Amino acid sequence: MDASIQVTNLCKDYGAFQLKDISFTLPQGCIMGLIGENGAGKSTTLRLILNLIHKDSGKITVFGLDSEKEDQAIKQQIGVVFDENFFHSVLRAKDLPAILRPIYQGWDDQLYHSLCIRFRLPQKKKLKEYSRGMKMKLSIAAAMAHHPRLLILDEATSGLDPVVRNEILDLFLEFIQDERNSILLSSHITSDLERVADYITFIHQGKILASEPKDDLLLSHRILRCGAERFASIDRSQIIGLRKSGVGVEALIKVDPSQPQAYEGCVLDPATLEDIMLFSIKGDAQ
Amino acid sequence: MKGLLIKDFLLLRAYGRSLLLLLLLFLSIGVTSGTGMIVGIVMIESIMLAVSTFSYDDMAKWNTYMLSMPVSRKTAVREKYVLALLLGLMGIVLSLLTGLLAGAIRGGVDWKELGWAVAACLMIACLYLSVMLPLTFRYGAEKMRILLLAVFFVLFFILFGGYTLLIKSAPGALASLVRLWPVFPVLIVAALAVSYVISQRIFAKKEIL
Repeated sequence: MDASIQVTNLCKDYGAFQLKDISFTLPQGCIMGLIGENGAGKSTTLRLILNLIHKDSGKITVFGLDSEKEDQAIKQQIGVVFDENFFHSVLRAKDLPAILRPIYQGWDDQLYHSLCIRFRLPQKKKLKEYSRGMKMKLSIAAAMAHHPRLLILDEATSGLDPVVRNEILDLFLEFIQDERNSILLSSHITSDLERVADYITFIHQGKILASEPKDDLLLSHRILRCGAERFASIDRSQIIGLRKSGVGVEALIKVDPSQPQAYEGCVLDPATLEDIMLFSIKGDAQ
Repeated sequence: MKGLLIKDFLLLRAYGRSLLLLLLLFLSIGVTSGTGMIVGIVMIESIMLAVSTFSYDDMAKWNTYMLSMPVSRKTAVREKYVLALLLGLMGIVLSLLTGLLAGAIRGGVDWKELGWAVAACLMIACLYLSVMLPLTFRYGAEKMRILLLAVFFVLFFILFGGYTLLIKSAPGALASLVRLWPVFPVLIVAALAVSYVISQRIFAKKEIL
């Protein structure tokens, strides 16, 4: 399986904030979710992949090509959606093909129109009259109408209602049906990622905490609940984060499948991505 | 680059109605106070439109989006210079038209005055641009709003100061300076070329946040 994106030991020093040794691989045909708290380095990573900012060290390849040397060839094959960067508010949906057609070799007017119809986007309204959901759907239509092989989306579903989010996620799942295509998306809405992502990369304070298949990540973590006395005898090295309350202890643990008896007398529940995020970050603070 | 130019002209078209009103206002000024003045205003206003597209871009955070597409930083800079030159051409046509119209209404067009006014204003506008564009690439349109007047006044004082100094120190020098007029377009082109290279360097290093 070829890699769509391969990031190796990527570093960027802002003084107050450092992105350190970021490495991950997005295989073709997959969706990778980038999670982490605000300011963790998700957007910085995406901007480095797109050469919007310059890396200090490390290597990024997209479709096996060096991201800096082959910048233009790569970008012909990428569609990008940002949370708040978009076309000027005085433009209309019908203006976009005239702008984008000369830029993208693969621009497809028909595909753009069919996406606009699918998303019920008015062509003659100025973009400033669009709702947030309409803007996002239009930017996704514009990002997909040149038949890209890779979509990079920064917080594309945040701030949208569940109906619109579902519409968008469905489109992503269709896109990924072609196994040469892949998606890298950052999101705060971990439930969206739980639904569509194949891989999860978890960034915290500029470092990677985990980058692995979503199912592995979810299966290897459990929420453990027990009394304080029972908790004292649990192997500390497996505890990632914990929360103490009057009735007992709640902890996120990395399960050891070879020792099921280690958790006798405790309640073990499946962990969600949100649990993993919250406990990891809180645990780190303690 | 074609896509970017189309984008900028679509933006300017969106503001077209207010620009047309402005043109009518200038025309009425021209009718009452002579053509020289109005030619200058129309010319400078036309070229200034290029700078205002930077503000529209900033408002939309366009740079991030643009550079995520297959548009190189080099092309992005070149497009703004080409845009400015196209608007300069438009300015020549518009200022000649308004000048002629105003002259006709006043009764009689002074062709020589009109020609000189257009040429002089075009050169001043180009000089202004060659200072403004690199600064705008460096600091962004928002900060340039404040710097705008400063740049204008600095340029004005240099030109005006130089002019008065010249008249006082050597009364005959002005006439010989006028005879040197073919040198000016060359200087202007050189200024634009240097400005272009500087803008390219600034934008190549810029971190797009």
